[in-house]
Amino acid sequence: MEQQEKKFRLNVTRRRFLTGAGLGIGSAALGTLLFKDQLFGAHDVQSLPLGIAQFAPKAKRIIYLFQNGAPSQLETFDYKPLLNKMHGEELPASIRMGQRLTGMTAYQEKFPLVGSTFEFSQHGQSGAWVSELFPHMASIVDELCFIRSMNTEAINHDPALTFFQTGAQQGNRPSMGAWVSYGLGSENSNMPSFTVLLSRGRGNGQGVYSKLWTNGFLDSIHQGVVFSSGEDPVLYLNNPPGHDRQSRRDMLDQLEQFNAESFETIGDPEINNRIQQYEMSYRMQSAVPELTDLTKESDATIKLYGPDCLVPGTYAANCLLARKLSESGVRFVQLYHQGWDTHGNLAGDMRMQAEDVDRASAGLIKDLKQRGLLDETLVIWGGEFGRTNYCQGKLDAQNYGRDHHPKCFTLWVAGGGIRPGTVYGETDEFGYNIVKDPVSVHDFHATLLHLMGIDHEQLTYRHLGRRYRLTDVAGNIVPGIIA
Amino acid sequence: MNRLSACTVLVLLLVLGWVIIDPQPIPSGWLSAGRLHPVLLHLPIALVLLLLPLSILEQSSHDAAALRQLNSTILRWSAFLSSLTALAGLLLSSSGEYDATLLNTHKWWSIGLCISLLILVYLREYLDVRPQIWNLFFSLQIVALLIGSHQGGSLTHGSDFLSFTPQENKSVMPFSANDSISIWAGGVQPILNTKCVACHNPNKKKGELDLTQFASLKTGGKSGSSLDATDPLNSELLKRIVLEMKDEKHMPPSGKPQLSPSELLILHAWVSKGASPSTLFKELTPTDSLRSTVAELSAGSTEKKDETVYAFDAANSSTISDLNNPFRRIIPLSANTPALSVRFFLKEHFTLSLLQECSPIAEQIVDLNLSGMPCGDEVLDVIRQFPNLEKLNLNGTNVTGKTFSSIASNKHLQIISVSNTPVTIASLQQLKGTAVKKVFIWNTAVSSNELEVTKKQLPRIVFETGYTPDPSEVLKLTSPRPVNTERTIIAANERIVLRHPLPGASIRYTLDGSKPDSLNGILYKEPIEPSPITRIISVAFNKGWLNSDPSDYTYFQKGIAVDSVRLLIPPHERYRKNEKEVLTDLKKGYPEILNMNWLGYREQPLKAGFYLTTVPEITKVVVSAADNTGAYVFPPSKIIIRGGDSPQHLRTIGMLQPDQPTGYRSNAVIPYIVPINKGNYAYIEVEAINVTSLPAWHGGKGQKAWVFVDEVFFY
Repeated sequence: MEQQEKKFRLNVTRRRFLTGAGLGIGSAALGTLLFKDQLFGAHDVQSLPLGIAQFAPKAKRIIYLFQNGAPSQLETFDYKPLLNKMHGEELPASIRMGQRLTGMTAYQEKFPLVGSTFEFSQHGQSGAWVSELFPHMASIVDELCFIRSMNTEAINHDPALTFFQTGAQQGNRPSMGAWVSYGLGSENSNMPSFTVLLSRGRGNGQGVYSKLWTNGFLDSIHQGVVFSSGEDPVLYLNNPPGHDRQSRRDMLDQLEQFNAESFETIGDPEINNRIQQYEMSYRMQSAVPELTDLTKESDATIKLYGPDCLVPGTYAANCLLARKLSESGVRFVQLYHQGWDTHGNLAGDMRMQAEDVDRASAGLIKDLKQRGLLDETLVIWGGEFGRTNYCQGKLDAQNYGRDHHPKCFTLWVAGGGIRPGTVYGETDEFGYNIVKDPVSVHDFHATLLHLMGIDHEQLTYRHLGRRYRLTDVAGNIVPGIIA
Repeated sequence: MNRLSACTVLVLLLVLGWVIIDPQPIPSGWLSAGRLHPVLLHLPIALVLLLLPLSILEQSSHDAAALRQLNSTILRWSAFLSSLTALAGLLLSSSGEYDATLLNTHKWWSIGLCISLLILVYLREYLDVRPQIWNLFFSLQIVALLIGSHQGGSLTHGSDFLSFTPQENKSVMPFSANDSISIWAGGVQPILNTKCVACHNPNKKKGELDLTQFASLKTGGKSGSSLDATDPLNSELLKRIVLEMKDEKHMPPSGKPQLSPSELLILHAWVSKGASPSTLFKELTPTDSLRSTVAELSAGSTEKKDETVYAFDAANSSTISDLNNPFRRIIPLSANTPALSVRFFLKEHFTLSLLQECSPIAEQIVDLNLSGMPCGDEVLDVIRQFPNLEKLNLNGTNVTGKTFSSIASNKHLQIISVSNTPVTIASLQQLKGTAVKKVFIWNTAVSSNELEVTKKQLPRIVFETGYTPDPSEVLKLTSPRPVNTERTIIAANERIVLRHPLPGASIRYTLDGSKPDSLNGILYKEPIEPSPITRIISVAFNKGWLNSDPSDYTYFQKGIAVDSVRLLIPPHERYRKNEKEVLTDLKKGYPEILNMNWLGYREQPLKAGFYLTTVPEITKVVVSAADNTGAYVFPPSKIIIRGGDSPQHLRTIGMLQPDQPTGYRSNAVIPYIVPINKGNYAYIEVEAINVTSLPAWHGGKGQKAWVFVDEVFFY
């Protein structure tokens, strides 16, 4: 980019020179004295080779199965029998330690502990505990690495999601996928390098917004492209009615001539970007329909992901599409599945949510594995925070709810560079505080980037007078989850 | 005397005066003028050196008058500029960052230079000496000039700058948190060595500080000791690092590599523990963060060594960029290896020559991915020419592997993926004698019995067979869906199309509200012709599958057109967007999303008047209302329809009392069909009365319920 800019500045026509010269030379001289950094480049920016891994990557692509709304760690992967023993008893103050609560339970008079209504058992050689809600995930625990000591700074959905996706709670920063696209570039220049798939479960849902897949201050080509479930998976990609592919080709050829001419005269690099983006869209027209076509799936595939995978817009269909996108070289596929916000009716909602995601999540891992892709693809499954060990609202024999809990939660990662069959980190018997190997969101980001062959401290972008990174000023690599 | 030379004398006198008086302190504005020294100093050097060839030319030339004139001017300017340089140098030196002895020599040497330049001017212009003598003096001047500039160079760049060897070649001590090593040696010195000693060493003591040894660190420099024994955290060593970047005293100076957070953490911890040169790591508690941070850094420094080192050279970068196109991508594995990965995209553009053209980078390819490309065994002949190939992906190609034995020449090929190909067991047997360690064979022609035998023959190879469905597992079909589920208000001639995504699945449906199954209900064959309100309940069934759950959709035909609507009672202030249009805008709402598609009432009932465009015959009125018990939204307790020619002449023509829920139930939009006295009405009034006291089973027992209506139809 800098090179192009220099080229652009040097590309001076006679007219531009004459109009600029009068004021130009004097102000240039003054500028040299006053704004040295701006004119001659900022010296403190380490030059990082963009579009290429800094060191040998362990994973080439990421699929992030975001469980939006925050599934309870206590009903999924963090088994706490003590809560069943102390069911209904008050949460000891020594455990809560005055931690802030959300407005939804802060004024509750009592904080009765509540044990999982679902049974837990150990699975695989790793002996990982998995609840009865996830029989399919339980069958592949030896491929997975559970991090039970995740913790975050935010206590409400929007800031927590934004924090997880961009490394900051406030928004406007680039999403993880955008950073990866910026750092590693595209593997397949016929597809965007960052795509987004949305689905909604039957549980209590929380919204997702385009700021979660924004490019922030990075170049707009790093923005996440949403594949929707309708007739046009990628908006405006198909030719408008009455135009065939040949006439589109002819039009693009003509347009390219005009654009090339205007690049000759003006030299603005954005013109070349535009030409390239038109060409990419043209090639996407043949790449995308093949990916989104669900009519040719084999029986084995349908059973692997579950019959929902044929219904566009479901979690299962998105998992299948994620595999296809990733297989065809999309660096970062971001799924969001809504409906995990179990403030009340946890027993009912969790079961429905788990039914929707269990088979397809495990199916995705198995599918990547049988194609030899699991070694080079990193898969993440998890939400934005955990849920409280005490009951929100009325605790009765049949049902209960859990509020937001940022101090600990569980997610799993699998695939490229991850140590399979591990359980990392530990929470106390109450499932409230972390007692061993805490992993912050920044640490998690640093580790992901490391596995992709990027030093998180060096992947920076200068904006508003300072350098930014995904991990901001924090983040330590977690060696314990790396193979 | 020439005016320029007079100026030179004046400046020189100023310099001499300054040196003798040594005024302190100097105003800070003047200090920045000292920054001109590095710019100015090159001018007299260049001019004097330029004079060397010019004066030779002058002496050998016949017509030298013009040249002589020019040379004199140049000499005068060199003298003037060097005295200006000296003045700037004096200002710069007062910043005190430099080695004092070296500085002193440089100062006097340079003043001497200026004076001798002035003498040269005098010699040349007033004494008109013989060329031999002039040449002698001039050569001496050049030698002196070179010595003076070297001194200056040593001041800023260190005295070893001419013999400078890059830092990397010096033995840099690595981080180490071993028990037997001291924190100083294993944690602190590695930081100082990489970030500080380039400017603070015995040869180049910026600020008179040497950070190569503990003793010299403790002694410190111009600002005193780097360590403060009484208040460790106030030590100069730490203070300078945490100053703001733009502060002049910040260290390392801006533009130089800064300390990373973990490095700062180590220095901070070491200093706060007393900055001992001999404390060993084993004296720390095992969980001390100082120890773990150093251990992490030491792990990090060995990490990069883990990277595979390839013996072959890198390919020419222009070769790579020439080969790169949208259908063939060549990506280096990382920035510091020559290894390349090659992938192909868009099968309609694939040809064998795309692969063959990779021969210039044959040596560098370690990862080749042809998945999904329409290619057969012919690619193996090309692939065998890639000697360093490690990983090969042929998924979804037509490769049968009949000539797999040929890849025995790929001595490094360890992983082959042939999932989704016609590969047979005979092909796999040919892998004997190759370096292959892992083969992915999901969805190939290889049967599990055959594989068991081959596995024994090829014990070194791991075969990954992938998922095979369990035939005893019977899954439930997904529910059938009408093609159009977004828009449930349809035109009179519109048909409803049902669809199931699984090829071969059948659909049965009912229109009377009863639940169909694989035997009961109408078998779906063609699009359904709807009535004004059509509720379609459908299930899908197929051999080998469990019947789907029923899907339940209600469609409304557009009824009799309404001219205008009058809300006789305004909706609750929170739910009154677009209030005039909502009831007749042909937009249905969702029961969870109580937005501008709805009118909501709680304190008073809904009461609205409808002026119909014509005066048609009407038999029923349909009120579509939300049912969301959790959000206190209940069916109306009573719906009353009044009709007549105008608002003044009305009578009750229909009434309905909807069934009330007996517990929480799933959310829905329910059409309440109110039969009315058949007749022609110009004006109809609809009143939907909300439940005024929620039942005992509800959390809001005794409170008022909401009524939400999104649409009213007339048929």
